Amino acid sequence: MSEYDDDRELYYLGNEPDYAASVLASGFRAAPELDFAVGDLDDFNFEPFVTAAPRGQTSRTASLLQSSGLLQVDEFQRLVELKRDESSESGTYSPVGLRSLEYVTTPNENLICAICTSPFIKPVELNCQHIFCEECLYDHLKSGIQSASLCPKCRDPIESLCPTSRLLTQLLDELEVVCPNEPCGCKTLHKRYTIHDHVSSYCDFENVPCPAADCERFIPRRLLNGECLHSQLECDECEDLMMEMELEVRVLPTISYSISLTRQQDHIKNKCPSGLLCCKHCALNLRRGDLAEHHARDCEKIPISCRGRIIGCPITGPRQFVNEHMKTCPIALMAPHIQEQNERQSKLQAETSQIRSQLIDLETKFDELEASFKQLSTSIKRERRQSLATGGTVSASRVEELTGRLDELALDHNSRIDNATSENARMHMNFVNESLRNQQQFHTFNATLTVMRNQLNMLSSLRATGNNANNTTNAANAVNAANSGSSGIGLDSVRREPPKL
Amino acid sequence: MALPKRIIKETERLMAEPVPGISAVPHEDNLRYFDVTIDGPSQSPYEQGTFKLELFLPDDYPMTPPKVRFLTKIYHPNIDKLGRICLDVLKSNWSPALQIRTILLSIQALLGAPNPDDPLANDVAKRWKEDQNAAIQTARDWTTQYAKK
Ligand SMILES: [Zn+2]
Ligand SMILES: [Zn+2]
Ligand SMILES: [Zn+2]
Ligand SMILES: [Zn+2]
Ligand SMILES: [Zn+2]
Ligand SMILES: [Zn+2]
Ligand SMILES: [Zn+2]
Repeated sequence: MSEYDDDRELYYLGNEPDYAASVLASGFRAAPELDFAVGDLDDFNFEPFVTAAPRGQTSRTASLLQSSGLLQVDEFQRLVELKRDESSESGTYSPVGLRSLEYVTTPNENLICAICTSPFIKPVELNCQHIFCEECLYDHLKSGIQSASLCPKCRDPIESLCPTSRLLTQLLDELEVVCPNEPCGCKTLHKRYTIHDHVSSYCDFENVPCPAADCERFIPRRLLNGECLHSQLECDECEDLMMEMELEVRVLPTISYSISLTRQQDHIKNKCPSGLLCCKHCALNLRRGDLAEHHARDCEKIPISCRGRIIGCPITGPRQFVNEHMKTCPIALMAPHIQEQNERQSKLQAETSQIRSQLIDLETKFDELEASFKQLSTSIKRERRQSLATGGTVSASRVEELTGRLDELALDHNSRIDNATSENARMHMNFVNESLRNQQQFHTFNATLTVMRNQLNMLSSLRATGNNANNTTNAANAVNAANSGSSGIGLDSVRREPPKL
Repeated sequence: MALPKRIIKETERLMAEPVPGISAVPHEDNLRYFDVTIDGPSQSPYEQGTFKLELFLPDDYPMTPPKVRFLTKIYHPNIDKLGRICLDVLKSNWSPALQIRTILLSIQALLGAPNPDDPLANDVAKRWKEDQNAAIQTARDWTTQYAKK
């Protein structure tokens, strides 16, 4: 609905110290001279200590109602409009939207307006005795629908209206409401007639204008100390970082006060490289900028795995523990050698493929050579035939020469083939030996590994059954025993020399 | 514009204590727009049918009535081809004391008591007056055809 609805005030809020007395004086029934509800339209010129005297003498708008008692519809509308104009002209700071208040308990249904379905705000009674909020009734009369001139409850024509019983307004005043700044952290409860005072003058969580003359921002009342808190600052911790540190407490209704931080707090807590942090593994306090290195090298509690993981050691845990474990873990000790072995093997594989390609190269060259040799011999034969046929035009010396060249080529060819073959054989031998050696070594390591794995399993099961209290030394002993003792496959094979070329 | 407290309250109550045979669920992105279903009342030609409607609360609700329309095809003298409903409380007889729940109950009642003397769909009303049995049979057929549960 219109903004006006939410900005409505309780016009009788805190204005009437002698309220109870006047209730008693006037009895519990509605009477024309009563000074509240519709008639009490003058919020701003109210004089508090006049209840003993007739209100009409001090309040312009109240007297208007008093003289008429019963209001006709058009008079009522005029009065409401007059009041709206007044409050918009005076620009009254009115933070409480009464219609959106949360009530602590569900109010009695006799206190509920059928139009807004909330407890009445400034109730008025129609000639049919049905009661509605002043605003709700005004909006209904102005709605422009066909039935706007009828009572929304009984459809009797609306002719006149009057203030309701003081008892009703008193019951409404006593209703307990939650402070509208509850989402920002104010957990207080108030009688409805005091909520306006609480929010406009006391509530710590209400946003009020910044006290600085040239600043147009708002801050929560609890942070008011006479100064503007919206200035730009520089971080004390990190020298080179200039940043905006407006104190901007987020008081959006959805964010609870407990997590609202000033930007400065937010910067130091979440971004500043000099801000202190707590390592989540070892609880050591560190500067944010040093955290990565601490995790990579120093932190004793950060979980890591045993170096032997690549060949099957399952041990993981805090760095301190795993470091201790690796001192005695045979798999961890083996790991670097295995790794070296793996590297060497892949290097050999590369060499082999290189040799293979050289071999193919040689073979093609050999084929080419053979082809040219064949060609040459056929051309010689042809030439010889020709010389015979033409009757010796080819001199003997020419034949001689050709034959010599042929011999030369044949010689060259043979030597080349010899060369290639021997080279090839040598390389092949080399390769075979090398891989043999590697294979042997690999088997050796594998065997050792198996033994150690068995040992390890045995040790873990021993530890599990609780037979051994001092596990590290026992593990070491067991490993030593394994190395020197019965299952010496690994060591034996290590000692065995690979065949030499 | 914030949703008025009254609409929030009405929605909460529709969810917490639904009316038997009627459901109204607001759209997540527009809390003034409701998907509505109404079961045809027993002993009526609309028995066994479930009818879909849309309901929209205008900005000045509850000062003006909600806008309601049938989405499911229905053969009824007071409901026209476009699903518009001829019901006094939705127009001249609206009162801000009425609520979504009361309006939907009125519509359900209208299904149980067609009124061919105040028609919106003239051809339907005419047939309803001339040959009521045939008209009711058509209403039944349409219910089976379009409003199957
Ligand atoms: Zn109301
Ligand atoms: Zn009435
Ligand atoms: Zn408060
Ligand atoms: Zn400021
Ligand atoms: Zn910093
Ligand atoms: Zn650490
Ligand atoms: Zn290990």
